[in-house]
Amino acid sequence: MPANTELRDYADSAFGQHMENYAAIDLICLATSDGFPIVSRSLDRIHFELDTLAAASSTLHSVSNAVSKQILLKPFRVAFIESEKGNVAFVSLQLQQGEFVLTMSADESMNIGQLRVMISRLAEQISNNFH
Amino acid sequence: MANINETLSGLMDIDGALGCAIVDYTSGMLLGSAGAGVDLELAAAGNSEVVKAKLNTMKSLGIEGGIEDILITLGTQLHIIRPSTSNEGLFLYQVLDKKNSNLALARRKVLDLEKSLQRV
Repeated sequence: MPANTELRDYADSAFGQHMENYAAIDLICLATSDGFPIVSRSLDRIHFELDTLAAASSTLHSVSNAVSKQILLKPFRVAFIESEKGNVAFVSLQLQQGEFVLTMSADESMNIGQLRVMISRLAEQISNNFH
Repeated sequence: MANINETLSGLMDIDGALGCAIVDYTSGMLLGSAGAGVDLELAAAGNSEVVKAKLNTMKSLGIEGGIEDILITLGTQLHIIRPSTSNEGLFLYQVLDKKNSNLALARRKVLDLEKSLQRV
């Protein structure tokens, strides 16, 4: 389901602000849960096709949801990938336009607790404007 | 205004400080920590339950307002938990050696550091 221009522009502006305020953030992406990219911002050194990123986020969303529903009997809310050189977080978003996944990755100078706070706040900010 | 590392540095400057942390009590995760003397990752998760339990108790009793701080006296340690007013869902956590610290003074300093903590 394509998101409208207003959501895309709002998210783009919010992502830009976050990238400016937090040097540790590498990438922020909003995609539909079925893999269509909406908008993303990333550092110049990050070479990632938006379509590929949206597909990866959608896959993570789908798998996380399936596992969460199977084990916890509830849909997933936040998922993390912790690596040696940084972390990636995925948040499931229910907006008036449909179901989305918000992805944020940061380098090792931002720990996973901080990343969780960052992405949760951004998700809430978007939700509050488009629920 | 101070960032996480500056706040942690300030907490470790308090007389008798053994360890300190800034914690997200909604998840139990550490945003930053300093010092030793206690497993701060475990303490963050455990003390998050303390804060949530107190908030739930206050809600069921119809007590309005928030928690300013929680002071815990142990055999050899003092613990101070202070929720952040500028960052909803976060708290400052301080572990002190009872022999070498003054609780009233430490409480005051934690208050000042919490007030100067910028929005994370």
